[in-house]
Amino acid sequence: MRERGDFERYVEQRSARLLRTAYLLCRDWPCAEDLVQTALAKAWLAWRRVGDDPDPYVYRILANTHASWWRRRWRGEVPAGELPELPGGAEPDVGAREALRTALAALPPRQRAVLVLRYFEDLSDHAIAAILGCSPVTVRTQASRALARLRAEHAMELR
Amino acid sequence: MNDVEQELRALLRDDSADVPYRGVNIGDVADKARGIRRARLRTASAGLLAGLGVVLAAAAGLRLTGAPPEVTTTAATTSPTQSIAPSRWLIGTSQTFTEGGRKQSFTVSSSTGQLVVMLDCGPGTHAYVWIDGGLALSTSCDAWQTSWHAIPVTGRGGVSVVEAAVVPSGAAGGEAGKVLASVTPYPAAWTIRVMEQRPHPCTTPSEPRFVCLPPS
Repeated sequence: MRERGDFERYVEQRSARLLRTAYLLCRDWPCAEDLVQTALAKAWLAWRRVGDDPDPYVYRILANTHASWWRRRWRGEVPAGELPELPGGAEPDVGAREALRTALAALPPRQRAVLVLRYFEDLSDHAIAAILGCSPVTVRTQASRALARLRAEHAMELR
Repeated sequence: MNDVEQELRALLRDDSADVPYRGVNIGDVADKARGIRRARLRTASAGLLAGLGVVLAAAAGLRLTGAPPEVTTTAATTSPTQSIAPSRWLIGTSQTFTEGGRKQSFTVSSSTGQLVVMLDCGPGTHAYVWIDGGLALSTSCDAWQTSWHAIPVTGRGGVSVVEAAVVPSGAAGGEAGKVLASVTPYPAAWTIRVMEQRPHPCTTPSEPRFVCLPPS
């Protein structure tokens, strides 16, 4: 996995999936596109050092770059001209899903990354730990805390 | 798997299903790579200039506090064989490591009481530096910037023990030793340069050197 042709094949085969993962991290398609381009560009610059399986390396850049952007960007409320619609008339499960989506978006980037890698990419805690540069115990702790917050939001919505 | 986990799995699958038509192509990635390479070059140049500024300022400070008048002006050079002496050298050690999450250790000479530490780690990384057992530096390494830090040292016996480690930024926070203990070693390329400034003949080939400074 050293040549430009290998890299181009990797981009062709994996960019759609990476884009979905990036979107789940930042919840915004232009941001996701920028995130994937940045991750792949950094991977290309280090391609000779990347092993036969570039996924862990690329996922690590995705998660770290997203965390870095998240810290730098102002995350205040966005002023709106009109009040948003309340989910009162929606189906109960739609309300629960929206609550889950909101709670997921409110998680710290590291916890969100753990959930996305575990429940979207179906990676093991060991693989996630290797990607995020922490121990499997830390991954389990982060996942447990994140799920607890999601459960609390979910339970409140179902009341 | 409970309801929330099932619902979360479905949510992640459904929410990311509508990938925009254009997506990411190799041309976009190549453009981005060129931009990153240019930015790194700019940062490295700026770091070099800033470092030189720090050192020149330090050199000026030493003169004010009684630097020997016989120190002569020399042109900046990195040639170890050029014979221009005596002059002010930055003597130092450059250590490149390929592992994060583990404390790395080496010794440097430190007779002047101040070391300049330069870090080149990666985005999303946090670095810790201990000198003679005490935490001297805890800093973020974001954006591939080269950062410079002047650190006073006691320099017992003219030698200081430098220990350094990088961890993912997400793991940083709290007591450095505990942070490091919680991180499993992982592959990470990073470089630390520790330099001491002192009068030194430029011809001595015994130590690695970075620049022969004009005292100006």
